[in-house]
Amino acid sequence: MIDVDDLTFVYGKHTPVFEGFNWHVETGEAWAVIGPSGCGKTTLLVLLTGLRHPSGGSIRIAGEPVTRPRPETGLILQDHGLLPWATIRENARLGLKIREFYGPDGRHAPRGERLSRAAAEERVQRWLERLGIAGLAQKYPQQVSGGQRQRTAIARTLALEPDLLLMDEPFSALDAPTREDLQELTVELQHETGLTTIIVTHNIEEGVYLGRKILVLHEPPNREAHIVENPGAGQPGYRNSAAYLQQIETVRGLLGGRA
Amino acid sequence: MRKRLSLTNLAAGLVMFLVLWQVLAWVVNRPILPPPTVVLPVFVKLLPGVLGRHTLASAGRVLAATGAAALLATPIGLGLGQMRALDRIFSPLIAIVYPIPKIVLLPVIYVLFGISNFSKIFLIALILFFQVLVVVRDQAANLRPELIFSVRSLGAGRRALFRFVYLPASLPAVLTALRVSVGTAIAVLFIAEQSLTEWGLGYYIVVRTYQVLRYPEMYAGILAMSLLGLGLYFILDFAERRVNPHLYVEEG
Repeated sequence: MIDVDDLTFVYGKHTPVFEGFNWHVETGEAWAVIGPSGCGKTTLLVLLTGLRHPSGGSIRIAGEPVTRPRPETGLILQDHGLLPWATIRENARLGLKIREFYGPDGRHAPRGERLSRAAAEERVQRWLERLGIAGLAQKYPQQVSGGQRQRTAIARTLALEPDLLLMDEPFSALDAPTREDLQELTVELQHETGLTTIIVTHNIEEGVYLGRKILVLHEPPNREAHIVENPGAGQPGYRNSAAYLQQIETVRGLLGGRA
Repeated sequence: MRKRLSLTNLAAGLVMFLVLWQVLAWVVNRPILPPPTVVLPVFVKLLPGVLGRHTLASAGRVLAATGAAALLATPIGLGLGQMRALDRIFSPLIAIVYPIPKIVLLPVIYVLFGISNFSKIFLIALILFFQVLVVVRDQAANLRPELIFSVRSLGAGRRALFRFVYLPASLPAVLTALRVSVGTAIAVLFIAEQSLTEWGLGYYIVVRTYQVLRYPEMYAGILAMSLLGLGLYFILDFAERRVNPHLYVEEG
């Protein structure tokens, strides 16, 4: 699904964030990217979105080099980015409206996708229901909780049926119970859709809970991918298991030992 | 959340206004301040005829100026708000021109564009233009980069950003700017209509009634001009609510 080969990336004249970095993601995998601030985890995500370009090496997604944002990649940020003047339903529909606006040109919307308005409505409704916010559809973002806003942002992205979901600290601004709710939801959605998911987080617990594979990044330059296999993630009851705590220790050790 | 003027409040305000007027008329007790009991019948009698024509002439000028100002200032404001480099070039100029009372340019405008309806409309449009321009520019510049970034991540390019973000974000600002400046616009209209025209409430109030001491008729004209301002204000206020309903809901 994702092939990062011999990646080098430098901001200006600083130390390279990545240097000869290789990393591969298979379709359907759930990854967490963990590291201290400044380690380049968000940079990696931005490179995957195609909004920035490698200084050297290549990034390919689904076999194609990433030269600009691909319409099949979904992105969820810490800031929900909802339009304040639009209802929850209108916000959830925004991505599909943008696609309708451009037509299936392959740049802003996947080539060959033609969705009737009724089908789009139906799809939005389905995601609103799945995310438990259908009852709020007529409300405005300021009238709902932070967790519900982030659910709306997720509905908006999933309604586009992406093949790759990138999340950058998606739950960091939320309180602990809401955050756990949404982590739970992310695991369920990953199971249901088999979507390739990459979540960037500074929170070790969150990374270990969500990532069946964990990429640990360090202070730049990152030359090799340190990967922790974490097969327990996504299993029922994982959060309360000894294996979970053990993995957290492992990752913490990896970060502490090198950072 | 913004307060909405209810119908009961509106009615209460109207009654208080009429009572105050009546009392003042009694106290002053001179022809220059006739009571509403005299003015209102005159107003009702004249409105379908001569007063109506003067009102329509004034309303037409204000509406034309409002439309022209909004249509020109909105895209320019959006452009300046989006393109920082362009804004840096023009913002000193705008800062200097914005506070100039444009009415002082009336003679210049008459010389340039002739003694015509166009000159009067141009003057009012000029005033509204800067009001709208500044508000739209600031609105477009203040959109959070996170919002723009996340909408771009849904596939939006410049055109879709304009259609789905910038335009809906600035439309309420346009209406607000027009609503708060409609009073100024009508005041300027009053001055501009006092001469070099034969139709319009300014002409009616000053030349046709005041100068020939027809005070009840003059008040009918003042009433018409007030209602013109009030009507425009409420239309714009109503439109603002329609395009910006989220400002009028209870916080969750």
